[in-house]
Amino acid sequence: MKLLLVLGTFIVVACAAVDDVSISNFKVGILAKDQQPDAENLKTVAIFSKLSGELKAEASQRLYVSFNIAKKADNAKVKPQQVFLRFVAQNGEDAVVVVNPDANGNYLYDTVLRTAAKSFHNLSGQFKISLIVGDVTIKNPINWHFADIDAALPVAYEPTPKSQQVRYEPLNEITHQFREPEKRPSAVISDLFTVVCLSPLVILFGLWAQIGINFKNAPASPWVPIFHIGLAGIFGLYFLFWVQFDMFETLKYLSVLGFLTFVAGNRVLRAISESKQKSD
Amino acid sequence: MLRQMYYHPIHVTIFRMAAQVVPVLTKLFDDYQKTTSSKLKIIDAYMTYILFTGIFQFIYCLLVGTFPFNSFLSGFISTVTSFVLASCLRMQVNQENRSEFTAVSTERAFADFIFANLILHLVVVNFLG
Repeated sequence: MKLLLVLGTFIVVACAAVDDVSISNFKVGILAKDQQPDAENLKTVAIFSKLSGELKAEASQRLYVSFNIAKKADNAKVKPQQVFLRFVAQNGEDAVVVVNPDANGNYLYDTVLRTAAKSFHNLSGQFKISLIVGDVTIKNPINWHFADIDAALPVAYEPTPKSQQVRYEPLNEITHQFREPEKRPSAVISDLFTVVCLSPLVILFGLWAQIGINFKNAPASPWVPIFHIGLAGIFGLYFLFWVQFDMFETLKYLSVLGFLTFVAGNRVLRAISESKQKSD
Repeated sequence: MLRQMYYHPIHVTIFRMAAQVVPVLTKLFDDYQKTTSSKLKIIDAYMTYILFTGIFQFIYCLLVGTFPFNSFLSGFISTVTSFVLASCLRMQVNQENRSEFTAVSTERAFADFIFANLILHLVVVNFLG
C-alpha cells in the first residue's frame, strides 16, 4: 500500500507539467513610507542580471519588489510552492522572507524595512538580496542574486530569556531570611511580671495556712507517696516537654507515669472513701 | 425623704450608701467564715489564686504587649480553664449540692479534677511553644 502511494506520487509528479519558468517584469526599488510605485522610483532588472549600484535604505523606507513568474512555453502565470527573498548579510548570516502572489498571480513584496527587520535576527548593514523560486514541477529552479542593499536597520537589543541563558559561574548562596523578631520588653519588666504573676501563690499559701490545711486525712498507705510523686513527676515531665522533649517522647514517659499515678490515685482515693463510709 | 436626698451633695449620698453596704459585706464574710466547710475554703483560696494570676497576666498583656502570643494565650487559657475546673470541683464537693451529684463522690470528683488538669496542661504546654 505504501509502495503504491509512493509510486502514485512519482507518477503524479512525473505527469505534472514539468516546465521551464521565467521571471518577467521584475522591478525593485526603495520607496518612502507612503510613496506610490512608479517608473521613476523603480528599476527594472533583467533576469539573471544584477542591479547596478547599491540600494540605500533606512528603516522607515519600504523595499518594493514585484515580478511575474510564467512558463516559458506558453507564458502562463504559475504559482510555484517556494518563492523567497533571501537577504545575506556580510557575515554570512541570512534572513529569508516569503513572497506571496496577489489575486492576479503577480508577486509583490512591499514591506517597511523596520517591520521586515524583525525577522532579521538583528542584522543590519549590507545585504545581498536573492530571489529563490522552486517547485517540484519546475525544471529550472532559480536562485538569483539580483541586488545589493545597504539598509540601516534598527538593531534592537533583545536579551536572551533567563530560561535560555547558560551561566557557568556559581550562583549566590541562598541563605534563609529569618523574620525580624518583634521588639521585646526589657528583661527587668519581664522578670518583674514573672514575679507579679507568681505572687498570687503567696496569697494561696497564706489563705490555706489561715484555713488550716493539713494532711491528717491521708490514709497510712504506701500508695500515698507514690500518688503524689507520680503527680509531681507528670508535671515535671510537662516542664521537660516544654524545655526539650517532643510530643512522642513525652507521651512515652507519660504512659508509664500516668499508669502508675492512676493506680496509686485509685487506691488512695478508694481508701479515703472507704474510711469515710466506715465512720458514717 | 427623696427631696432631702436630692439636696445633698453627691459625696454625702455615696457615703450613706457605703455605710449601708459595708455591714452587708461584713455579714456576708462572717457567714462565709462560719458556715463554709474548710474543704470549700481551700478550693476558694485556690480559685482566688488562679483569678489573680489570670488578672496579672492580662495586665501584662495590656501594658507590655502580646508578643509571644501563643505563650500569653496558653497561660491565660490555662488560668481560665483551671478556674472552670476548680469551680466544677467545688460544685461537686459542696454538700448542699449533694442531691444533684448523688453518683459522684467527693473522691471521684477530685480524681476527675486531677485527670482533667493533667490533660489540660499537656495541651497548654504543647501550645506554650
